Amino acid sequence: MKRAQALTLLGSAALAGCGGGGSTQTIAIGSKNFTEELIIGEIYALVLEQQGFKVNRKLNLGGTEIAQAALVRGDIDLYPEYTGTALIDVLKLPVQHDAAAIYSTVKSAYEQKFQLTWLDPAPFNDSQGLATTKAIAAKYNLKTLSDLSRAASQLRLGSIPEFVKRPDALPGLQKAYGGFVFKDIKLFDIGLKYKALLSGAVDVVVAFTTEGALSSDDLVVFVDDKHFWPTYQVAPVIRQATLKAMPAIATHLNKVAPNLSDATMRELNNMVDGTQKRDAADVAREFVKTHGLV
Amino acid sequence: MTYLFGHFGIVAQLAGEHLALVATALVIALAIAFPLGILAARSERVSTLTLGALGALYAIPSLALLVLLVPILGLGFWTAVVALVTYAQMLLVRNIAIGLRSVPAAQIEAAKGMGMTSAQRLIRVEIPYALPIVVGGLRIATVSLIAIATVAAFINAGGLGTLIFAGIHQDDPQRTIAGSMGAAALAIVADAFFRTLERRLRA
Amino acid sequence: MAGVGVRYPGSATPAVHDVSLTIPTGELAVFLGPSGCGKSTLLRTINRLIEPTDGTIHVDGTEVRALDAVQLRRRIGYVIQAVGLFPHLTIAQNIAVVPELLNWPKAKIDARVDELLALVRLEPARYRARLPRELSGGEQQRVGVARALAAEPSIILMDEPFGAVDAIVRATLQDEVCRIHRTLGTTIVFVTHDVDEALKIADRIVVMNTGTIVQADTPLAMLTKPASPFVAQLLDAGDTIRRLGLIGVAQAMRAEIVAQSTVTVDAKATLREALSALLGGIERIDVLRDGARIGSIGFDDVRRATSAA
Repeated sequence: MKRAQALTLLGSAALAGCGGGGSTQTIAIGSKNFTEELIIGEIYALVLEQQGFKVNRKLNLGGTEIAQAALVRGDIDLYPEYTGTALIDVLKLPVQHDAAAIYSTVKSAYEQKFQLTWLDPAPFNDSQGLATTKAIAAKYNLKTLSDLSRAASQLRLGSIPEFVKRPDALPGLQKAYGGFVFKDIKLFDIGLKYKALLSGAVDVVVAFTTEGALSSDDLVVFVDDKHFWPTYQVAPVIRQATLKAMPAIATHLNKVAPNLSDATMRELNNMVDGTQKRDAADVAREFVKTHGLV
Repeated sequence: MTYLFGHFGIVAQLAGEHLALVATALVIALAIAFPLGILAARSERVSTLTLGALGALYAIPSLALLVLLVPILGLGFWTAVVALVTYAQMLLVRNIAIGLRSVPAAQIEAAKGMGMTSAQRLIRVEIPYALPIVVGGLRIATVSLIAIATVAAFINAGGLGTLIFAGIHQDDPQRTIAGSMGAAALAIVADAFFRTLERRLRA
Repeated sequence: MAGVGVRYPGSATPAVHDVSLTIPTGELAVFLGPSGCGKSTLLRTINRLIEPTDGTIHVDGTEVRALDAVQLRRRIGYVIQAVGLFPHLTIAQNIAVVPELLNWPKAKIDARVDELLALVRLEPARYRARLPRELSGGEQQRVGVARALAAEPSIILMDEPFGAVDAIVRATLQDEVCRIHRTLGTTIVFVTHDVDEALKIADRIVVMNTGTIVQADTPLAMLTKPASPFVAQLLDAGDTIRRLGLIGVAQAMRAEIVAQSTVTVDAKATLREALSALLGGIERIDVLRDGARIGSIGFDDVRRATSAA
């Protein structure tokens, strides 16, 4: 069945090439299973549906490896991925720091290795980071990761398990900045770390820079003054065969990208993860309406 | 609890998907496990090899197994079923082999002496004797599969995992609780069903 | 059986070596010997649970190897020490196994089950629908015997069938086997290491040692004329107490009524009983027949009778 579908896509390339405009081809859109991906995946789906494409949603995929495997195999035609993740986790290349350089590296590597390509990236950067409360930052006079690396021995870190192991996380920070030996490290599930910080159980937490919780005025993210982390910009990764068959997809999704700034993304995430607990699909629908994408 | 009562229809639908995954996997798993279990019961070498291999498969974390399967089988229901069948094999084959081996030598000797062929012995004596142990394995396998089937959500195969993981990632305990309670309810019902069956068979 | 031998692979000495034996139809033959003498192995060659490596075996005139082993076994009853009833089947279903394998009509099977339950003295109405574990060890072995008889076999093989039941039940079951043997006239081949059991039930005892037949004879002949020191020792032919059990008081007593003793012994009793009465502390006791004193017996009479026998 899957093979038949792939053949159909290739077969329709010629038709779509001359005809242009609205197509009735079905596009399978995937996303990983955390809030930001769910929102962006749904936004892609809504935009393409508006343009007359039929969309089959396969959101909620359990991680980069599964999404990537499904995309290569043709079970999905596209999904939102982060440039930094592609660079380090998929391609296993060394860390780079220039956003444009990372984008062009992963785009050409994907085209060569996987017959996949990247459409335009959104400007927001959902990087890893460390965050604390305004009160603690003021008390210890902390602004940058350099400040924090020296004060770490007096502070307790609230972490997610992989952060203490991955080379692009705590071990890398210790190499790049020196110091970063915390008084204590407590491990939490990703959804619970801000509660731990606000309740005073820990002093510093691992953060992802577009997390909804960070839109709170009480929290601050340390500045990565030595540019340790790559940028994590999101963009649709798409099968080249699909794009050849339906080149209009690029035009439509590239219109979405500029609307996703750091602030917008945090706000969208917060509507789902924060106190409102709205459905990701709902939030996505409101977003495409207010930004005139439908 | 509020989510569960507010969205009972959704929870019930996901529970239905969950059950379909587990039931399909169990039927296929049994069809494979019976011949394997019979072979494993007959030969020590086959037993060591089979149970060793199945034990190794059983030890693969579920997410890692899905990562291995998706490039070959893609996303969806049947890939999840294959993963569940894989996990069930170990428990089923082991119990079938143990059950068949536990048949007392006297019964086998008597069956032979009375002129049963080896097929008749298997069907009339060995399998009936082993059945409570096999059902015990089936019970453990079912409860395990109900738990493991939550990861079907990772590959777009539906089930209660959809709700549980949405709740975890969204920091919304209501969804996690609703999904977990659904899975727990399925497990409790399945456990009670097979326990009763086991008791009937032993009686 | 002619020149039958069984050699297990990887074993230097054969389990059974060059055994030739004819068991006439209707005989109750007992294979007797110490454990490891090959008696069970020899028994199991008859229904081909063990294939002999040498020699031939004929059952009812047909060489067993000319028959399909499965078909052969359905014609031969088989009773083992551990009984081996099938726990998931009722008593009636257990007895019906071989008739069902032989595709008997259901009505005939049902009638046969009731007939057999009655024969082994288990009331059909009470026992038919029970499960094996609801029965005592002795009752289970009665069912084992009934099951072996189910398809009217011409031969029944019994491999130490009463080794696992207590002495009282064992004695009862031995009586039952003798009774059934008398009633049905079925040929029975019975394996035991229990000398008393062999002496009690056998038409003929086949004593075996290290895989060969040492002596085959009637119990009486074997006790009085053991062919070798091994047989004498096995049967304890020199054991006076055992011999006491085979000699009647009437044969040893004197006609004089001496003692007017309060302790007496019946003329139909054996010397064994007379001796235990004497050991009560009196030199001589009177012998009764139908309640009347007809003579007396003392230690000297017992001694004389046993040394003569």
